[in-house]
Amino acid sequence: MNKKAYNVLFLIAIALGFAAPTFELVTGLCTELFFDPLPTVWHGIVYYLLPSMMLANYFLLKRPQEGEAPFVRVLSRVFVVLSVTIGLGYSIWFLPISWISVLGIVIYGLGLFGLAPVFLFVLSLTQAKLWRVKYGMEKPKLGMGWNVLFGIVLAFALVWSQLIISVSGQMLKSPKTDSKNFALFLLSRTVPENELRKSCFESYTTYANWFRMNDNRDVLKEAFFYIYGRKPGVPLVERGIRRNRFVWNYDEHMGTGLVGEPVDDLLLKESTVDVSSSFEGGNSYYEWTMVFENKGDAEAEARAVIELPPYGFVSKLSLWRDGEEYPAAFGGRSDVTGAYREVVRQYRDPVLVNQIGRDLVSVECYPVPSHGTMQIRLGITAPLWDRTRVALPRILESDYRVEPGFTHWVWIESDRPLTAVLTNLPASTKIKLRESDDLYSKPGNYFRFDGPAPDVYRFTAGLSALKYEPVQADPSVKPVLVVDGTRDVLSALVKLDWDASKYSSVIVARPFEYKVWDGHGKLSRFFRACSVGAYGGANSMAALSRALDENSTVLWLHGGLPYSLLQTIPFDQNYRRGERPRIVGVAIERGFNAFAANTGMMPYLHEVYPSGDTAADIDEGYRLAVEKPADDTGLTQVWLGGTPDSGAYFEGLPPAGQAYRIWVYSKAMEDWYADGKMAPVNVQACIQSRIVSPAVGAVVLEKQSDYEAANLDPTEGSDSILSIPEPGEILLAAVLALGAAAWMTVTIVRRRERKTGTVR
Amino acid sequence: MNKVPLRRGLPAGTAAWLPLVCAAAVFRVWVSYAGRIGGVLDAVRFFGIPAAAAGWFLFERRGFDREAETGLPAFLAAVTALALYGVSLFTLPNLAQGMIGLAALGFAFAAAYPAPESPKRFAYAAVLPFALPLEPTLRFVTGYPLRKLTGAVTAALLSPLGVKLHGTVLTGPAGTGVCVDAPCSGVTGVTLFLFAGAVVSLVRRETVPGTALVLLESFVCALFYNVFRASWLFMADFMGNRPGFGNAEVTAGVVSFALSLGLFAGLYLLTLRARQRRRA
Repeated sequence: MNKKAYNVLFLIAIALGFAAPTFELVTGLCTELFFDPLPTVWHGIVYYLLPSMMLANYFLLKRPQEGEAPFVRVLSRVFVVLSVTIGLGYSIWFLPISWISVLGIVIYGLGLFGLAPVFLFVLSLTQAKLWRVKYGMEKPKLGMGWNVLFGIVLAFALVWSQLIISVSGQMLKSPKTDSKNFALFLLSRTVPENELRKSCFESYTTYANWFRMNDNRDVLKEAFFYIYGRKPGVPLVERGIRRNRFVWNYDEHMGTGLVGEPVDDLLLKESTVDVSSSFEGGNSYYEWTMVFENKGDAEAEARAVIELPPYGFVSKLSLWRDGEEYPAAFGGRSDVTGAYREVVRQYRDPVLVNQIGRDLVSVECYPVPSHGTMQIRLGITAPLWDRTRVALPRILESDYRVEPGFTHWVWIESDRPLTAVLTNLPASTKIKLRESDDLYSKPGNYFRFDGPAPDVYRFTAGLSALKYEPVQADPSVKPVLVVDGTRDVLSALVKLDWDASKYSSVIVARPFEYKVWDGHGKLSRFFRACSVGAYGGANSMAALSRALDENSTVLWLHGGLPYSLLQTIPFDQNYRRGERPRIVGVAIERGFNAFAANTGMMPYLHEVYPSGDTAADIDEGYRLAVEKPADDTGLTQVWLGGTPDSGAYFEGLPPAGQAYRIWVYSKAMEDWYADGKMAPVNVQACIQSRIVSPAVGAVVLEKQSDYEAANLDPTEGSDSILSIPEPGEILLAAVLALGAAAWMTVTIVRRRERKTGTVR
Repeated sequence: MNKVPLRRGLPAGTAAWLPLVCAAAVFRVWVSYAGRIGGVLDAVRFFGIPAAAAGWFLFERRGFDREAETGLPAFLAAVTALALYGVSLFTLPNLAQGMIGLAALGFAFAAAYPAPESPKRFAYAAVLPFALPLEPTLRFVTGYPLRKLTGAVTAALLSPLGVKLHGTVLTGPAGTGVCVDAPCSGVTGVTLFLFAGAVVSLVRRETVPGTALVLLESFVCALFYNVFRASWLFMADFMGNRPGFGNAEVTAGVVSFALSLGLFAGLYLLTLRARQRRRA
């Protein structure tokens, strides 16, 4: 190659070599259309290293050999070898789009950057030849053969993550547990978290389509959960995921009722919790106001699963529009859900709340406008927890972010002094707190009335007893202990003392299998052995099914479980066949558990409300698992306060206050726990008292016509507790104007009287 | 030692331009809120209140000497408020910025009066922030405390009948109940009463302590309005005449509001005379 041609090639290659990655970092064009050429910082460094080395080598090779220090030759050779290697590696990686670049240049005059690796590779070969000419070496130690080998190895290294993800995705679909476990091992040890996260979402890139990378998304999502113990997150708009130049797909879970993956652009902006707690009445009423903010460029749906205080329920819902609060309509679950979906389809403002499990509700609101906010308020009624404690509602899972250091404004008033258990505040009837989300969401963060609990049967205006758990537990049968074999759960359990004789068997669930304890040695040692190589998540469905075969009650110590892993058929079968399973769940690791978030499971799954003390929670769970039914009906009772004749007390009277609502909810839930159904009369009672239950939901729609179309009435039941809204602002302003006019008239008349001297 | 009077202000004729300068300085308030006007009432409030204040200013200035020196405290207050407004642009939300900006405008109005009259016009700074849509924010911030306060006072008033407060629900001995719910918090009434108090202070040329007293009186009357309304409806329910939605609430609300206005007028005149007697 003559000198002029070399110089031209050098200029083009170096210019492209620096411009192409810079252009990609700024525009993300290749990431959106084809593949991500710079997925990590290391990829970027290697890419920029290539033109940098060749630029340096250009000047090194130009220098005369005479008088040159020996290390220059070595350095130049290193540059040559590395340039050829990297150039070849990138050329191989870019090969599938090189021909598209050629077509683009021919047809549109665009696409030169796609050829940058090829130009750089050619330049590196030219420099290799120049090096040999300069130093007169026909066969250097690291010859072209080695270079090609290195280049191919580098090409593999550059796409290693994608290769492993692709191969592991196929292996995860294999029926063989060993293959799945090996795939999980590969993914956890060799693929960066961010690469695996991105592969969990639908990619619109050409590479993804060519290599059918989207086919494995579901199994990769499961793998991500197993490895990291949580769901993968994605911004509403991320280059290469959910978006390219032609297709925008913001949120695949919108309007589905599932929380889905966290959305980075959506966050909780403000949260105030107002609590009125009555020791005398044995209940608390909460109003939780939340403001969501959307920092993204597209409208978003805020979705969350809220954990209510024990035996609590939603009794109010409202949405702010233009600064005004709009109350919800309560109606049959299918009616309100259908109405919500319909309005969401039209991109208008609704909010929906449904009960999805014991002490669990789902909240969906749409749209949180781009770069705007949306405000909702949940009213929650709950009896006192264990007669004396006031727990707080918490976000269990959400698609919006709660930023580190986020503060909840909590204001609690009560008729007797309350003590905050986790803070050193003096007992008071008025507690004002600014709690960080970490502290607020801690299971042990509750408030306690001091002094002895009042006698249940001496209240004059009391509540009823809530009945639950339609079981025929035989106390002689020892429960089966099922444990989610995740890192966090097992590390919590190995610290505890275990009496293995209390359990008929012990099963530890893993991602694709379970381990049964052989009964030898200490139980804590077994847990420790299981914790070696444990991942962040586990699938306990198979272990629970296995436990049911023992015809005993089950004590399940669990962590989170995504919907995709949920299996309900074996449990339904047991239920239908009359062998009602009884599972007592204890959440050792906080997180959304799809098995618990299922109204169909409520008749046979009882979740112990977490107190923050793992050992105490397990003891409570064990007590419930072996407890003998309290009365002839086979129902176990949980105290909610009140007199035995509370029902008679409330019958026929107009509904009043939270006590009445708890009674209505208790009556309705008796049905549900017994049969998984709710009698029409109880459904109607819940609607009338504005109570969200498994069969009744709440929705705020935009227009009266929306309510009419959905056969809902936002005023229905609102007179169950009479409220006294103010007259409109215009009317009051008119009264004020009239008053002002009257005053002015009197003043003017008096002045005239003073002037004319007629004043008395 | 002789006190040096704070009369280092501008000639009143020149100072008349101060409000205009200040209104221009806080132009962002006009721009940001004009774009948010959502109805006739919003527009009337946003343009009407500053226009009425300007009208009152021009009407009052007719008799003043244009060469008389204006008061320094109001000028300093206006400058301080403007400085705070400047800081608030980077630190506070829009509504707080607007309130500080309009208060600055209010002080600028006061600063344009001759020195002896100027301190009696500080109420401009209390009137003008009502041009902003305060109610939604007040509802969010003070809604619950107001509901608790109304409920507590009403329960105390009706305690001989065995009425108790559970949260914000007034419960009678027979289980009947009236909820002081979010729309019942009385925020609209409180806003209107405070506005009325500010206007009365301006028109009656109240000093700063006088304005504070009038605003306190107006708040007490707003509370009375809400308690009276809640008691009325609770008693109607208690006596077996359970009111439905609509006319009963409106009637109770309007009558309570009118009565509370009367109470406000009476209370104001009573304290005014007491103050006049003390001065005499």
